[in-house]
Amino acid sequence: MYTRATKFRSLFILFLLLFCFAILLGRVFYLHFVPFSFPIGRPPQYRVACKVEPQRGNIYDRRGNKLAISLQTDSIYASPRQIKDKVKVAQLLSAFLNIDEQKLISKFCSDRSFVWIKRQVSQKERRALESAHLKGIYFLPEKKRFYPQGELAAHVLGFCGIDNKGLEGVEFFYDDYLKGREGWRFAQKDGHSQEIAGLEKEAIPVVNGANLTLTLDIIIQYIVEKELKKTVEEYKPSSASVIVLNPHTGEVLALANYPTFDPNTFFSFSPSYYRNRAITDIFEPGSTFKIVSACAALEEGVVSLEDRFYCERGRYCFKGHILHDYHPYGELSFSEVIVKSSNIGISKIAQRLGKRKLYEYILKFGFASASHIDLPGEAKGLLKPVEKWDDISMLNIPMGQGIGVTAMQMACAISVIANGGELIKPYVVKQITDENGEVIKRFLPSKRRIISRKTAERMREVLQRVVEKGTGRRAQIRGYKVAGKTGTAQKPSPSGGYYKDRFVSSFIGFLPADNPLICIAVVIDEPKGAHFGSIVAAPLFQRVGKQVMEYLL
Amino acid sequence: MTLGRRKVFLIGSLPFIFLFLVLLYLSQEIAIVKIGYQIRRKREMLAKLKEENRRLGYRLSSLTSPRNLEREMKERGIRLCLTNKMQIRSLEGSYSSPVRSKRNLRVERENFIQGFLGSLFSRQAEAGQR
Repeated sequence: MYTRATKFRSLFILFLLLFCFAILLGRVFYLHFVPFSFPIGRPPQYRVACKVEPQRGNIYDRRGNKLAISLQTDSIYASPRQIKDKVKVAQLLSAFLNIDEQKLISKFCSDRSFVWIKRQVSQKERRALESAHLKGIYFLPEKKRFYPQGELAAHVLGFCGIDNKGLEGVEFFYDDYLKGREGWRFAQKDGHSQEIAGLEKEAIPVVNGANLTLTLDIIIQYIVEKELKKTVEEYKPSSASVIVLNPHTGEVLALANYPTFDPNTFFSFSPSYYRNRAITDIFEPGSTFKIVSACAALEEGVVSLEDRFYCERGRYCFKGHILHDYHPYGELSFSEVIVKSSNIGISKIAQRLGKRKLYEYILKFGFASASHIDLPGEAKGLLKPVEKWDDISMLNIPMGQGIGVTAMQMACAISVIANGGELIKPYVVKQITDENGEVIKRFLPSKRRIISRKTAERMREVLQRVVEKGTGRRAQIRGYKVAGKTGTAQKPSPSGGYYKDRFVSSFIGFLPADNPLICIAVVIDEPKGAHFGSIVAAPLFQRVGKQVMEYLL
Repeated sequence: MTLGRRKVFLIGSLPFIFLFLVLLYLSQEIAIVKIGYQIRRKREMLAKLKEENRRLGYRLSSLTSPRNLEREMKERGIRLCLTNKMQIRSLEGSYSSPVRSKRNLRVERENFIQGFLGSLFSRQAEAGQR
């Protein structure tokens, strides 16, 4: 039997145990239900808010080849307070990373707890540094943009800066799509600073950047760059551009410029090399512009292909101004004016048209306005308002003087004739997809009719003759009908007038002439040794056209 | 006030039930933490493999870039030549997609070799054949 004292002791122990378990239970419930709000007793260093960096989207060509990709690299930082022998560490780092030793020492002498040593180092540099086991030197993973094709399509792709923001090309233009959106997660760490995934609570999900599929084809781009390089080696121009367009859709299949750069090491090139000259540089087109004057005259019905024009034996006086032809001609038909590229002939054709109509058609062909290609820095070109045109304007503008255009505008202009009379809007991005391949945005061709199909067909015949019998014979490609126009323009001098020894050679054309698949615009600025478009630009057109057709068919 | 034996037993067993529950809960918490570590390791592994995959993709793209292929062919002395019968094919492009004709991949590759790379070496190869 229990005595009174025994009962009391039993009850005392029982209530003591109950009290202890109640405390434990209370704590357990507290820990269970309030895991992320420990006001007391939970040191704040165990709770971390982690920023989750998005993966920048990739860039592909039209066939799915990778053109730009982000990879993880390491950046090196130091905690100067932890470095004991600052001079020795600086010497070692200087040797491994090729950095000035004095700069490192001055960084180490600062009172800061974090200083960058070098951002985005190579694997080789990382391994070398790791083997040295330096105290106070740490690695921080960062993303870096890589371009596996090297220089290929550098001006279209552009590049990213050290902070992974697009600075040029589509990297800049589509930065909002490519960069994605950073996420945040709230996690807890254990005593060893390791995150406990089970206690993690994702607050803001990360959205990785979208992928871009370009209209470019790396094989066509490579053909263009390879052939452009040959021309550059031969004629040593100050700059050059080549564009290959699909005339029916406006898709840019290749776009190359000289000088060019490698986006992987863009910082080692002069910023002038970054310029996408095909859309930023304005030049006087010369005879290639005659296609605009001719189209306008045909469309307005002021001339027919058989109309004949007296070309004044190469010297034409008009209201006190003298216009010359390179070769003196007598009477030429409308077609022959284009085929032989007579300046006097085209001026007389334009006079029949009148300056207001000519001006109207120049604007219709997209000159003096941006083509709205999806690349940064596009120039609109230069054209005086028709009210400011003087007597000489009707002599020089029809033959491509006194007007500033870009290579892209000329490519679009020749596309009008190739596709049957419609002005296309060029574009370099075909579609944008998310990381799962779902299409976010698809870019469709945009075009508007500016001349009739009949006029375009007539001009196509004329331009075919230019290549068969005229100035563009060097652009002939065996097995294909080619249509095109040469251009040789003297460069204007800033002090007035024109240089006698500086030219812009160009050729614009398309093939096959009867069912065009591609348009090619070639612009060579200040070639040395020769300057005619027929000598410098047409052979480049021919080599590119031949190889591209063999590749496409 | 007196308590019966049964009541004392019931009240006395309560702490052990609590103890059991507490131990159960603690073991669950420990399991959560352990699995959390495993998840973290797997995540790290997944991230590493994904990164490696991207790196390999980059390497593959670099190696198969046209510039690299052409250089390798030159260095290794690989010579390609045109077939005896060069075929000019009629175009099948349509207005909606005029750039690529609907030919199979094999034909495209053959033409690519014939036309693009073949043109580099055709003369040498023909001379070699003779």
